[in-house]
Amino acid sequence: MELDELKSTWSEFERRLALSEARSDRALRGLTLQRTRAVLRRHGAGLIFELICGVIAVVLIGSFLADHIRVARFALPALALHLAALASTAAAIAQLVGTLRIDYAAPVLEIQRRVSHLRASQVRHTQWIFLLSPLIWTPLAIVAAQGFLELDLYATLGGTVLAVNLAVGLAVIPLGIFGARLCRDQLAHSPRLQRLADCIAGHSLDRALDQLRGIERFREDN
Amino acid sequence: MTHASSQHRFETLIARHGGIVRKVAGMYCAHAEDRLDLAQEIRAQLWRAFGRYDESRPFATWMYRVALNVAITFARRAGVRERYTGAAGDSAADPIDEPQGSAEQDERVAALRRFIAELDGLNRALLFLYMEEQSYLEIAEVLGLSETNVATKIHRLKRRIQRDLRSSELY
Repeated sequence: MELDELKSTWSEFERRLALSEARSDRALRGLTLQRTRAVLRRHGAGLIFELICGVIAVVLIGSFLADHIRVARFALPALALHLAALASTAAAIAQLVGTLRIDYAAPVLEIQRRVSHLRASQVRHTQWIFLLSPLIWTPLAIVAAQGFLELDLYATLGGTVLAVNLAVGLAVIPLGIFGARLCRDQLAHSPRLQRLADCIAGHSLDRALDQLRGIERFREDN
Repeated sequence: MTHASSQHRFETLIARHGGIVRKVAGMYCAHAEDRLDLAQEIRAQLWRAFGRYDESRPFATWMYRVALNVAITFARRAGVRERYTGAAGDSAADPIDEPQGSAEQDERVAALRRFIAELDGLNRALLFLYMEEQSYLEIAEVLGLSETNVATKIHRLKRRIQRDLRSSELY
């Protein structure tokens, strides 16, 4: 059988696709640009919300840091949080710019390579946020208690309790990776949680890098 | 060009080439719901990119690039991929799966869909453009490959079709 012979089957497939689309009310509604614009607005709103949250965190922590710059026990946790918030916001801006710069009218291989690079960096970003969040908890509690309640956690809980909290946070990181690998199959009922587990365990990054390698193979394979 | 005239021009061109969106969605999504979502996303990205469209170049080539780029990206998202790799014919309300002609014709369409499902996103794009009777040069422009590379890949794809579909004894 030659590929040309397949073309009559292709025509029949096309006819059935048209029938399938015509039967759907959603398809008819989708033909209007209003719905299209609503999709774009939702896209933009999500990204802008993420950025606003990041900027608020940077400003609040920055202001706390300025007020307590001479008090090392508050300045150090605030500095750690400030750097984390700055890095996270910068990564979010880089992703936003990268996403906006994608010109889908460029050749397929070029765009797919850029999309895959972007996906890999998004996965790395999410992975770092979840892996470092147990370490962030202790400085966040110190800064939030002092900043909002004027409560000195060093005096209230004692330095040892805070140090133990930090150590537990450190121990939770490898446990989190192990747990995510172990629980992945048990989360089949919730694709969202399964994706999160995949991200923490590193499976999503492996997949993103595999896609990049696949694109390079397709380009070079001659 | 004013916003209204740009919108009118866009809608006219999309209506003229609307089949491309539908067929690309059919290549990348097995389920009717996913096809509609993808078709909508393709139209959204076409509208977004339309301001940069160079009218001295063929509209169809531009549209193939946008549609295929959006479809490959869309199909890679985990949810869609998992649903795609599921059985193609498990949606009872989808006319594609309903018996419509001879049993042989129905089975040929099913075999074609199984074959498409086994291809990765880039090879699907290659098969689609070939089925659309695009020249090797046009395919090379859309994908960003050399013409020689396209010829080699099409040759391989033909051999794979011969091997895979002949084994189903339908061709």
